[in-house]
Amino acid sequence: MSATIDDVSRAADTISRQFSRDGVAVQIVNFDNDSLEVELDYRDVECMDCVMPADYLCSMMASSVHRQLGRELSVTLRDPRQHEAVTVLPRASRPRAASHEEGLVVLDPTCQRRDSDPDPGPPAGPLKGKTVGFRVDELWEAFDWVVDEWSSALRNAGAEVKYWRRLQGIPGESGAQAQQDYLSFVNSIDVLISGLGNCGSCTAWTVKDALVGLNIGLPTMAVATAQFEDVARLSAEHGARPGLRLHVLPYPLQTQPEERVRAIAREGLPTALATLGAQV
Amino acid sequence: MNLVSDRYNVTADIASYTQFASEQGWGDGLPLIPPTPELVEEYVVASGMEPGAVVAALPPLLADCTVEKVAINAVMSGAPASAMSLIIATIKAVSQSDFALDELNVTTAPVVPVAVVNGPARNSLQIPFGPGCLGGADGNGASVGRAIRLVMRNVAGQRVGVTSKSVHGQPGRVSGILFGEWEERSPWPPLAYRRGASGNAVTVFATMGTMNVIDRLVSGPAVYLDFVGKSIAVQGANGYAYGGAKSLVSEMLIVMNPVFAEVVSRDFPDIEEVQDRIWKSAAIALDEWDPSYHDKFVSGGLVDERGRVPLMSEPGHVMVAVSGGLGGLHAVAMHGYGPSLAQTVAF
Repeated sequence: MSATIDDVSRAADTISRQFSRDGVAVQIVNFDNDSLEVELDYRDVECMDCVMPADYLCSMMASSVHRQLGRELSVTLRDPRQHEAVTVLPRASRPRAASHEEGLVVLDPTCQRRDSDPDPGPPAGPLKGKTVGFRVDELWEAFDWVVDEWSSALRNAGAEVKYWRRLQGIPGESGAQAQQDYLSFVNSIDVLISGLGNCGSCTAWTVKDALVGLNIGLPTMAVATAQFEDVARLSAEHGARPGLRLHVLPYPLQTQPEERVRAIAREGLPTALATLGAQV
Repeated sequence: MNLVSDRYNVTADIASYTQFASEQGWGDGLPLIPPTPELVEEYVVASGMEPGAVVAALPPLLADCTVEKVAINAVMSGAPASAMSLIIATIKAVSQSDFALDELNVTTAPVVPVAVVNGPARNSLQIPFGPGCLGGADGNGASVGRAIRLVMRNVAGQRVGVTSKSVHGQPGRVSGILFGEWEERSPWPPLAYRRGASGNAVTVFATMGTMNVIDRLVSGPAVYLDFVGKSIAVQGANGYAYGGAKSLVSEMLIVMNPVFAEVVSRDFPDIEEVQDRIWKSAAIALDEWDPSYHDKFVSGGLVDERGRVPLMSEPGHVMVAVSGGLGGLHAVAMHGYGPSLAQTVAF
């Protein structure tokens, strides 16, 4: 929104009325779309000591212009009482590091996790003779179809395939037992594929379970849909393993017909194997 | 005091600081109090702990949440320094593994932790427990709740659209949902006491939102408890979201007003009876579900002997607190979130 000289004049008139109580007159010296320069005239002022300091007046003027125009301008005030003009910049243009006298020191409220390892882990290499473990979940039947397609291909290539199904977030002793079962599963395989990240919490669990394998040195890959790729990568980053191998399936997946999902799985297998560093 | 957080110089007014904080991604859209070292020190001192003491590692970021970081966010929220112990206890509670914060903070659901405060601190900290306690009452419920939310944002790393995939969010994700139990008007022992903590304590519960339950024609305590149970068993409740997954839990928090609590207690003097009655009523007959759901429920062993699908797996998953005004009629039901279990921590 651009301001006209009439808009600024009206703003200046308003300011003049406020200042005239002390006998101060306001003259516009210069104006463009982003800035306003004014000069004060003290000829009718009876009590010079009663007039506020120049920087205070300039702030008042900048606020008044802001209210009148609906946006901020850079306002420069020439005050005969002092040699240097005073300028108030729009808030967005103000330097971040104000002087300590003008500003405040504040503390950063955020945390950063620093112990990050970018290593994606070892590649799977030739899969013949190896055991590939699929960590699946209770939520996404579509991923079962994907895993079914991939399993057939891997078996044909001479790999053994095992499965473990995560019921995410079981609390208490049952949860501890489930985790123990999962650790046994991970220790019984040579390659881990964990999915499916297709919602917020299940993506977190997919990555969390993948990192169990990665952190013990297994060739590991997580699988997520495109909608949740970013949260999968962030989860890996937050888990201190930003290099986690990730295969991304199209989104939406769950609402696609089974045959379409199976076709997606077959078409995507070469890419998935490349991501995993696997040969068949 | 050795405060180790990075320091920034900013313009000395709330509006400028709020804009600066928003640009850094620290804000929630409401004005923020600038966390100067002097104020932060005051809050750390009020906690009685060292600034570098680690309260918890909060997911998804899992960085160490120190007392200093809690204090900074508490200053920003407008919560009083005297609430530091409550804020820290609440953070400890939500960080318990069975609370499943790693899921809460990233899920597509609108879930938010509710905090119910028991003990004398309700009065000294001005935590509302009477009329409008869930929102609208004076006091520090909103500012203390907001401190927890800012910790989730800035320390845990819960960022909408980035780490948090919540589809709609909910109002409670801004200022939290933090209120007290009106213990003096409850006919039953305080909620925290029943959960093993006496005195000042906070109970956190992950909820999908609040649901008002009004019964204008109630004819007796049993009828009323059945009415509450039937009201909360709706097909879209999160307890049914994992159809077929038998071992998942789903808790409920029922906030009963003092007037109705008194009436109910005449026939149900033990809280366990109240929980059992509501639990038994909170179920949906299998034939009310579309047939496409039946196989999942049957194969998952979720259909009871009366041919119904219970909302919760056991009576203990019905939690009851007594709070609110004396106008009667209303209860508030809060549906739980999938696998999360409520946690209680004394402070």
